[in-house]
Amino acid sequence: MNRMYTDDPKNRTEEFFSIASSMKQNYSTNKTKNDNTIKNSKTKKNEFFQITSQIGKQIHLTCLKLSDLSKLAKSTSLYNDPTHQIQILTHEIKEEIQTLNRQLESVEILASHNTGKQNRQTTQHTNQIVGSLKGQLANTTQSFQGVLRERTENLKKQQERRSKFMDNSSFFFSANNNTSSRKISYAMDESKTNSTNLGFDIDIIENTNNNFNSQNSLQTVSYRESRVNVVEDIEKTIHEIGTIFSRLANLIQNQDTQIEWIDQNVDETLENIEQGERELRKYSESIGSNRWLIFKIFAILIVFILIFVLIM
Amino acid sequence: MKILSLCLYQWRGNNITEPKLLASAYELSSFGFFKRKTVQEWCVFISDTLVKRTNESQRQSVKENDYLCHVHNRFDNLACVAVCDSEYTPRVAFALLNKVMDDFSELYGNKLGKLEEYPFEQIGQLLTKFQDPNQVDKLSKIQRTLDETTIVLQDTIEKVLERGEKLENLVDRSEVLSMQSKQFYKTAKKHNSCCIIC
Repeated sequence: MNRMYTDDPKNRTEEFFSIASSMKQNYSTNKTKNDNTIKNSKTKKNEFFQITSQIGKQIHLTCLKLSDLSKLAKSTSLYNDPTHQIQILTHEIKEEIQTLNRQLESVEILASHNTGKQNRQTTQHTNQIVGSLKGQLANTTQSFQGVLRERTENLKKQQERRSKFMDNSSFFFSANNNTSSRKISYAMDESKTNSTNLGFDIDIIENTNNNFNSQNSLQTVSYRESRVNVVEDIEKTIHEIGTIFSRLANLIQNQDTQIEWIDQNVDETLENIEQGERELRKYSESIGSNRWLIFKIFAILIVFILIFVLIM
Repeated sequence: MKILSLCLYQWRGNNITEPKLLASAYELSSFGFFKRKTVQEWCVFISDTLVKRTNESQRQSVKENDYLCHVHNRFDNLACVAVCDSEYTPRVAFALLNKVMDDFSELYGNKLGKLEEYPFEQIGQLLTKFQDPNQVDKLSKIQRTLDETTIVLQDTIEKVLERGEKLENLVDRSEVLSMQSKQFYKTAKKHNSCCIIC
């Protein structure tokens, strides 16, 4: 207030601006309250579509990163090893895939919550969207797997070439070779897996890559460190086994409902067939007892035909 | 993947006295008959030198030509050296050294320095037992069983997925069966009600 009198008694623009901004804020809060009540019915659907579009964009970005990674992995020069970048990229892609997985699962749950209030077409639409996103994510993870496999094969070839040129203190190589070849062979055994199952395979392939990288540095690992590493590996394997078990339990539980359906259908079939058999039996009895009626009816018909012939 | 020699010394960690060889075992069958003596002498020489050059409570692995020598100098004046080829896992070698020294101290714990001879038969047995590290090393055995379990579990999951497909198939077929049986029932009923004459 004092400032206004000392600087310029008639210049009250600042006060005007402050009042205008405060009024604007009030107005916008009132407006949002009204809009919330109107939009409440549509927010849920819009949320769903927003989230799905976000997921789609993320999948696209992950695909771009994956193409970069595949280019890096294919580089076969002996000395210019982009190992560091490859590791960073692999880590990023793996994390993104995991977050996308989780987001997709939450979207599925959201969609199943919403199906009560929507008509059949919107449920179909949402289900199709979720299905296509899942398919895209599965494709991305599979191509990621393929890139990691290429990378491990590349590393093997590099190692062989190196051993031809340099003196090989190779006990690390052969000791790790057994574990890594085992682990690659599990990854190869995978045939029909959806995106949720691919999570642990990627862990296995990453371990082989990390093994190769560590042996490339050719350091002598101390006794204690080697024991710690082995125990950590064992812990990881146990954890993975735990996750596999829980997935198995999930699958079997889901198949339970199908078994109940089958049971119901077969029971219905049995009932229907028994009833049909009863009807047929009644029918055959009625046919059998009807003979005399048929004779009488035929007799009447013949009488009618005779009358018609006589008239004609 | 083999161990050439296993030597157990008593040494006090100062540079004055020589390490005293308490027990040793050798596995030299891969060398020709006349070479074995030289190889044995070489192993003893290397073990001696290594024990002198290792500080107390320290483990070392030294590469010599094609062989890796693992030496562990323990706190209770015992030192053990294993000369293995370059493929042998050092972790298992150190486990062997520990076991040798533990067994020895169990047998002769407080009589060190008092007796003249320390007959230690088990050293030969341990050497042959540890020739195959995959059998002995418990950690790698655990890892292998876990890996086999994962393979089995992955097979199981595949089979469960197949089972899921077959169950879906069954669901569809049982639905079709139920519809057809219903048709059958309806036609039978229809026959019964209307066509009495024909």
